[in-house]
Amino acid sequence: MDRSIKKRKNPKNSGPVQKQRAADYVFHAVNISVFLLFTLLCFFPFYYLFINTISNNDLVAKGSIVFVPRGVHFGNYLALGSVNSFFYAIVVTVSRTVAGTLLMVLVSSFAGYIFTQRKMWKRKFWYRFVIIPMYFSAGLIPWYTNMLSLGLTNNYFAYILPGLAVPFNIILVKTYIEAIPPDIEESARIDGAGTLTLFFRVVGPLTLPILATITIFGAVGHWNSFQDSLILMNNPKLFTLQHRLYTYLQQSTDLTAGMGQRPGSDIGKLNQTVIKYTIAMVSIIPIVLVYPFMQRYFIKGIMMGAVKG
Amino acid sequence: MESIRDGKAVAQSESAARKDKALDALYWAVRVLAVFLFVALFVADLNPARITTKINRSTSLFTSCFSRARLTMGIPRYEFLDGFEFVSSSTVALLSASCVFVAFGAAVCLLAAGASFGNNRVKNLAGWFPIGGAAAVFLGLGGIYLAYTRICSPSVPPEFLNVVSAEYVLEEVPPYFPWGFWLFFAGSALIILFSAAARILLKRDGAEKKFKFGEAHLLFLYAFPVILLTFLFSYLPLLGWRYAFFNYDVDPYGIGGALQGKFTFAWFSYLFSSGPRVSEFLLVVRNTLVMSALGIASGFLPVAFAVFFSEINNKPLKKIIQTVTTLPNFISWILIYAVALTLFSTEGLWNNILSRVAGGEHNTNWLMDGPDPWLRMLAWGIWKGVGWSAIIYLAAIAGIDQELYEAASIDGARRFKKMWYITVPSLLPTFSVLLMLAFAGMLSNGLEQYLVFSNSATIDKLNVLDLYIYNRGLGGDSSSGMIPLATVISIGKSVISVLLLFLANRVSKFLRGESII
Repeated sequence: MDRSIKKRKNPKNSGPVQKQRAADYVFHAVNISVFLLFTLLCFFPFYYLFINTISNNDLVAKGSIVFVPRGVHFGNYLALGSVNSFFYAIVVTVSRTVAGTLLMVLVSSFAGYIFTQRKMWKRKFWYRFVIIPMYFSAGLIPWYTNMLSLGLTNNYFAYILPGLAVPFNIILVKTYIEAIPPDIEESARIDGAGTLTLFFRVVGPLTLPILATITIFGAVGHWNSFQDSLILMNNPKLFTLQHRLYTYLQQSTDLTAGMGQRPGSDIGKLNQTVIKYTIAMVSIIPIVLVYPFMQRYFIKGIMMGAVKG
Repeated sequence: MESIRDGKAVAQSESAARKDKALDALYWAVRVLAVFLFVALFVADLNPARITTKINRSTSLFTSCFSRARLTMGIPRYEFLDGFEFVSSSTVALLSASCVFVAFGAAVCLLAAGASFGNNRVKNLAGWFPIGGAAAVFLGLGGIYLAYTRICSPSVPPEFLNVVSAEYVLEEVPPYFPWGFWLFFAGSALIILFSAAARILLKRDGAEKKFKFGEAHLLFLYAFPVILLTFLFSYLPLLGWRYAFFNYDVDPYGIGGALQGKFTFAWFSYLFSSGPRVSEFLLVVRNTLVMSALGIASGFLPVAFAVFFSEINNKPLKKIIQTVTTLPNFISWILIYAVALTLFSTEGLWNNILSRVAGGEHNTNWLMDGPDPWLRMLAWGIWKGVGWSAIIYLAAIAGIDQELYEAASIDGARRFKKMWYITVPSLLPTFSVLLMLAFAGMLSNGLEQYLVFSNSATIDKLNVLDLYIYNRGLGGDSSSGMIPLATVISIGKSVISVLLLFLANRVSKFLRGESII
């Protein structure tokens, strides 16, 4: 609020201004407290999960860990090494996140660029052809039977191939490139650059902000991927981290079967529930670490989407 | 003299133009045929390698290429016939090798069809390729025919002759001549014919020294891989709708089932054929609509979040609040469920706190016996999404002209008046777009949340369409061969969703003069 305006309105009597200020303080105090409460509500569950995984397991079992970790140790994290198939889940998820995201960015951004080229044969038709699936899908079961007939069940490529051409990302890149002054492209063309050179040397570098956005969305999508693994994979070695965790959460039996027989193992101190939480924590940590630094790219993504959305 | 020369030139250019036209037509024919053959590789009903009715009707030629297991899964194996092969492994090997030839040939034809967009130099070189590709297809078809004749006249090894007769084998593995065979045959024959004609018509002494493509078509070729991917993963599934019109046999070897029997509408009436089924389905529809309605009704929350959030003046504080409140949106539902377990399971924090504060033992599993499951799901959804959904409104608020606020202040408007009369109205356009989209997505609640949070105590209220389709087709019930039923519901859901989207778009156009898609 602009104080000078109020002063002008009440030049002699400062009473209402002070009253208004007091009301302001109350408003801000209430407003900020409500937001801080909600922020705490968003933060605390993850914090609670975390302190449970690093506290003394006996204390955790007794339920005496509430706000501060006690008896800090990292045994639960070390024990993950011997959890059945956990290693495979990590390898599958990390590799699909890296490879899937990079290839997606390459394919989708290149497509977005090509669709900006007005000279393309039947451009409008093909652009629509690629975009329509965003609004219409055949359904879960037809999708599954299609993957079946393409041989993409129990096949690692099922994680990569369907996610390469993402209509939404193609739109984002196309819109972004169309906002770049055309002179840059034209002058490069006059200098003899072909379409590919233009994309990789001239236009590509100019689109880095939007590429960062689709990269980050793609990476989170791959990291959190669950449904494709659930539906397409029978082989536990191909499960993604989320799918693995889901099966762990569903089963009440011993995750570290066979661990007890190993000499020197402190299985007695490990708590099965805490092991599950530890796996969850391992899946959450990368996102929590990366998100604050990448937040502006996320926000840019939703804004750009809103423009076109 | 002059005029004669002119006439000659005109005649020459006329014949050249005619020749160009003919060439163009020939190339187009080859292109269309090549695309057609290539697409046919992925269509199970056109599989030329289905030479016995025992081969899975849902196996495309493409699948037959690399998965011998899928190719032979329908062929009987009887234990009492200890090791007897109804189709000898050499026949299967021949068949799958032939499939590879056909697929390879079709792919070469497609590449060559793309190359025919180039200049004469490219055409000169690439002109041979469709002929070679089609020849490979022919070779493969020959192999398939050979395998077919072997199935027609089975030979039984002498050690089995006392238990198995050739007639018995024929009965168990009846030969079948797929019409897809003739399709591939005709297609590749035409490709050879047209390509050869084009090859003869084309001048060999092309003036160009470099390989070059016309820009328009080159750009199309660049985009082609993406078009192909979109086709394979977004349009081809539409073929899966045929599963709704047949019975489905679950395959005992876990590789995939097969269509059985004749075209039927039985699965459409199945859904409504008995009282319990109808009431179960109605329950699912009710849950879906209730959850969507709750979601739409709580759509004002992100608006309120954004309006009040923008009143905070402290920048670092704003940044922290925004970062933390948007974070849950990027945590998957599985992980949210893990978090929910730590808080609300029998040994969770909530019971712990209750015991400490109120005293006594608290052993409620709040995930099963908590308050109304609908409201709980809604609460989780809001908790996860409200901060993120508010961002779009925050952007709209940032775009409001500050002079409006100043003018309002001069007129004596207080904080809440300004919020209500300036901020909120400027958010309404965004709000209405999102409302329309939510309306269009009414039937899709998403699978993940309901899959992880539903349990025996809550399934009656949390069984939404997405979960129902999954459970019927692929989840616990998949062994009962309910794929056709799940497909029927999938189709209904897709069709209605599209209609809703068009409706929402119409409404938006009518009310605001703007389309949302």
